[in-house]
Amino acid sequence: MENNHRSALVFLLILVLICFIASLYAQRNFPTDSRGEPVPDALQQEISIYFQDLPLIDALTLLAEKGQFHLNYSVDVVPSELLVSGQYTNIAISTILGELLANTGVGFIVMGDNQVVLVSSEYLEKIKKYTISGFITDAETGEALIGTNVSVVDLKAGCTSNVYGFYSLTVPAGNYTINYGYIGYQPKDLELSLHQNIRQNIELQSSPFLGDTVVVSASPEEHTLRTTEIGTFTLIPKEQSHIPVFLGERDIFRSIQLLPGVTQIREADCGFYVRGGSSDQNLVLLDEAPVYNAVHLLGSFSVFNSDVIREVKLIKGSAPAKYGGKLSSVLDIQMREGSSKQFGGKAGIGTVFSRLTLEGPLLKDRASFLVSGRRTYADIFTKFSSDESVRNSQMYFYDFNLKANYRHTEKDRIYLSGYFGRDFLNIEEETDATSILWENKTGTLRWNHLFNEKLFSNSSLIFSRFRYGVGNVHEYETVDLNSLVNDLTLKVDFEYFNNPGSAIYFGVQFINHHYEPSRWLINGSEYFDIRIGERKAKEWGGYVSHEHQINIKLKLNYGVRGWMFLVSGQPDLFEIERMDDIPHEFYGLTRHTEEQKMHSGFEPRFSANYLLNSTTSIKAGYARNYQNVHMLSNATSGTPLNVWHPSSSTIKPQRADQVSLGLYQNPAGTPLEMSYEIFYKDMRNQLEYKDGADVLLGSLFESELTTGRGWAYGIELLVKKRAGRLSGWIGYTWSRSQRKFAEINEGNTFPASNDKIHDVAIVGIYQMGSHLTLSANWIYQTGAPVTIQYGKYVVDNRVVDAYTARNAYRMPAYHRLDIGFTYLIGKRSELNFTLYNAYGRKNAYAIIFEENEDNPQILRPVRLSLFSFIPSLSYQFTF
Amino acid sequence: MNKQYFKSLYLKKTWISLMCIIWISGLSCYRDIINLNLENIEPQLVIEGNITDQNGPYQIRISKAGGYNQLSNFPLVTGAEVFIRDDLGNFEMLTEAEPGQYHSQSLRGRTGRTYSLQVQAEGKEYHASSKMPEALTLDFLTLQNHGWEFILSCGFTDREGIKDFCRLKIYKNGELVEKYLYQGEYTDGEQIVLDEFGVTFSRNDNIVVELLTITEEIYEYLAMLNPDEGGGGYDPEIPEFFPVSPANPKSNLSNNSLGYFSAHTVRRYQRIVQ
Repeated sequence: MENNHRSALVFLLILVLICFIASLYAQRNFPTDSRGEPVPDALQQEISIYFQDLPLIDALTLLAEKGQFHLNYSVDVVPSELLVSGQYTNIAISTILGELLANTGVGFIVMGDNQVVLVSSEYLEKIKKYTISGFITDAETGEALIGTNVSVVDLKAGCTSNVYGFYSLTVPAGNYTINYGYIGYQPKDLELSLHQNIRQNIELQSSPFLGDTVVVSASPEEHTLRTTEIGTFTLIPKEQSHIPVFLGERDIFRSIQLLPGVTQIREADCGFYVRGGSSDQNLVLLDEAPVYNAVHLLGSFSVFNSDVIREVKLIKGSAPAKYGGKLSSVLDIQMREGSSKQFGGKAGIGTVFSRLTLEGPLLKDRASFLVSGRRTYADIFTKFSSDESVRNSQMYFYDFNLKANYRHTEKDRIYLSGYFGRDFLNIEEETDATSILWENKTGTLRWNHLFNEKLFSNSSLIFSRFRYGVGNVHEYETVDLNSLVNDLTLKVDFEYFNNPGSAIYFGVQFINHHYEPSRWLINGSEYFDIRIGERKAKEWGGYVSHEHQINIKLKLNYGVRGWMFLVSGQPDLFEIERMDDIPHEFYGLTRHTEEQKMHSGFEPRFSANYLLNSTTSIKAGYARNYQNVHMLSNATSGTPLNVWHPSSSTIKPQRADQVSLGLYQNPAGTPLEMSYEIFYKDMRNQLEYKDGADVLLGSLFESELTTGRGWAYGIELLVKKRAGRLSGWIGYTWSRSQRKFAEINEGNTFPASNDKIHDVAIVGIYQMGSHLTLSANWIYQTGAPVTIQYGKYVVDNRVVDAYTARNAYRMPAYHRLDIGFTYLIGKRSELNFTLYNAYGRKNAYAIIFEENEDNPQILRPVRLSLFSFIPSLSYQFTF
Repeated sequence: MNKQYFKSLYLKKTWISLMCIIWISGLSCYRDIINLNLENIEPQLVIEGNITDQNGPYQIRISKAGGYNQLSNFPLVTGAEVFIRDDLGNFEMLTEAEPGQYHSQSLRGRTGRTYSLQVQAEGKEYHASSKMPEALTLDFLTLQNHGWEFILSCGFTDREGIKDFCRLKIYKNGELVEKYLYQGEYTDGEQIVLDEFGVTFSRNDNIVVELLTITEEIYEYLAMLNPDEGGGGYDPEIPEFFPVSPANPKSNLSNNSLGYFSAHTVRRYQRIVQ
């Protein structure tokens, strides 16, 4: 144990040291030649030399002899009449050179190890590099624009702004046209003469999103072709706003489910499954804070309010080294900042809930805020129900988002963001009341600091908590079951923009985890306080990655992430008050002794982009990921009663290796973007319940789990049309996801429950005139594999159910069509009508058996489907 | 308060409540009868075999699972070749006494021996083996008079250092009225008293208690098969909306067959209530 502690500490210290040195390195004044390039060691030697009224060229020759370097010059560069004097004792050669040449109109550049070339200052000026940097913001609201393409047209070089809107480009001095482009905004060209470092903040004007006036700059498509991001989608709510929506509410998860490589298992399932992974293998980040339970109401809605989302990035392929902790994907959600220019707001009234967003400046152009809330109203109507049990029932959810930011100086900005959401359900019967609640809280405090034009840093303090409780009052006895997970993260990230096309990203983080999977409080004739499986964990991590444009065609991104996870606690501990003994009902449960366990791992990441021609590129990626927190769910996703459990001495970290290859094409002269990607993913230490596991009490116990292997592979095709009256996309995925566990299915391979072989999504949006938008989407998916009862048999003198092998039966195929109409009323409000499942397909939610009333000897299979078509209406306006 | 109480009261309610969400939300649930395409799912063979330390004949029953639309009919498998051998080389081929019922003749079960079952039926071969444990015996068996009813209480000593598994069967006037599964993982070497049975007796009842000492494999099988007998097992009361890991109980038979083969000891105790 001691050793584990010590090595963790050493690891952390090393990481901190690396970061410290790196930041010093970036700031420190290295000896450089006249164009700012570092000089080799040979010219950093310290020598002593003395000159008295020597012609400059002779003095330099003497220095070259003494300092053992070669001097190259053309006669007309060095003024012959100039005499120099000086005495130097133990001074670096490069420093002496610099002093001798000061104010002479001559500079020196170093080639190779010891070749010094004397050049005129006019020439120097031409080859010297300067940095242009700044923040890119929305002209109307002052909010940062993430991922804006910044390109130097003349050099065909460029970069993109980071999540705070900061960009930095270092190029040789000269006169350039710099182009700033961001989807949905009017591109901006800036002519400038770059002969010193320039700070240039840019404001972009959003383009009206109406009919044929939709302006889509060329840069976003270019971006797809040029970046090393593989298997990555960037969604902007504005772009998604016309897709038909479930129950009249726009939801970012529903949009994600329409993308190739992403699927759902059941109807109304808002969880998502990426490339054969499970729903707990997605790293869902809201302003950097991990969100453990991202859905409301049985999974019908995500917890993310579209009104406050600035941008969503989904990474299914190889994620950059800065992300880590989950196997399948990264869903990085950035909240809007709120307008720093004027007060405003947005409100919406829908079928299920209403929402209100307010934003505005706190200090003009310096500080702004954004608050938003949503609440359902079904419980208001249940009060008028004739049924008493309905009248006494309560059900609602609400959530709040908050964000504020403050620009202290040009170099320092502070951001505060938070989320709080709660679902509550209470059902009262004659002698009983049962209530369930589950809630998420996240908070992020961030400090951006600009060390200089090239080095950007962000430090974050992040809090995230998920808990649920089930309470029951039965006559005089109350029982509460609580479960929670709590994370506190401290991290520092650096971005160093070295050259155009060369950026280094590095950082460290520390996370303090607290898991309390299950705590029972029973108060009645006896009092129990039972805590099961409580654990604490400390996690240290660090990463470094380098994005490098090797030449005009080839761009690489490579890096590594390392982490250590120290978990300790009293697993499956029973703490019982006023009881001498362990209650009899816990006899059958496995208990473990107190333990401490260290896990660690390294995750190499690599991606490359090769531009075949101006319209086509190919990309390749590899990534390894580990996961140290596992969701133990007693059903498919959608129910909130999920227990989060850390890796321990019995549960090893999950691991996945993924390779992917993609071809991207934007045919010239068309508004089309096409991509073809193939992937293979190998997953180790996957968790499943044993056959027939005791999933109720047992769900909290590691002994009911078994580990095995999983693998997934597939092809994803996407054709997207972004501009014009008709826009949308067609996505098709062919994929398989398999599992093999020694203790399940007699060790035979079986399909994972998210193994949907064919998955088609077609999305079409048609602008009819300037006010009306029609949209439709159609989805087809192979039925999910399930284990079902296929008959009965007699054993031990009773008739019991016979089940198929694990996931050996396929549900009927899932398909549906949704239609939506959006009508703009004036400029500030819109009415939205949606018909979900327009042709009323009864998609199977589950198949059960019931006895035939006439003949109990015959069981009839019954398909349960949640709904046929659902019309809904919503209205929203901005002010 | 027992485990069943936890299960039924809190978690079953939870599921029901969650279903109510759907219902309250006005998203009604549709039910319709469909045809399942089960052509490629072949009904499994069911083998149930017991060998005890009492006199034979020991019986092996071979049948097949019935499809969901023919429940009155669980086809028996005739014409199978059934062999039992022990680790000393004793060997016997069982004869089919009636359709699907295969009986031994001379074989005599002994504790400590490992018995292997081999079945050849319908072109496939199935194997299982089971080692007969040493017998547990009851230390006492009493009937206490509580007014007009009698409550059964019995006890035995868990053997130190041995993982004991047993099953209690209680017969009232020849009818099996109670089954109870016991495992000794947390009560090694302790005196075990069992008295919380769900059955009471009255005067002149003929009570038979059978104590079967079984292997761990069979314990796990039975616990999963009969979750209400104590021990583990999943709860059949969870609405089938949310099947979690429904599966056939883990059998000690090979080749994807259902059922079990158990070598166990039996101790019988009889009382007449007076």
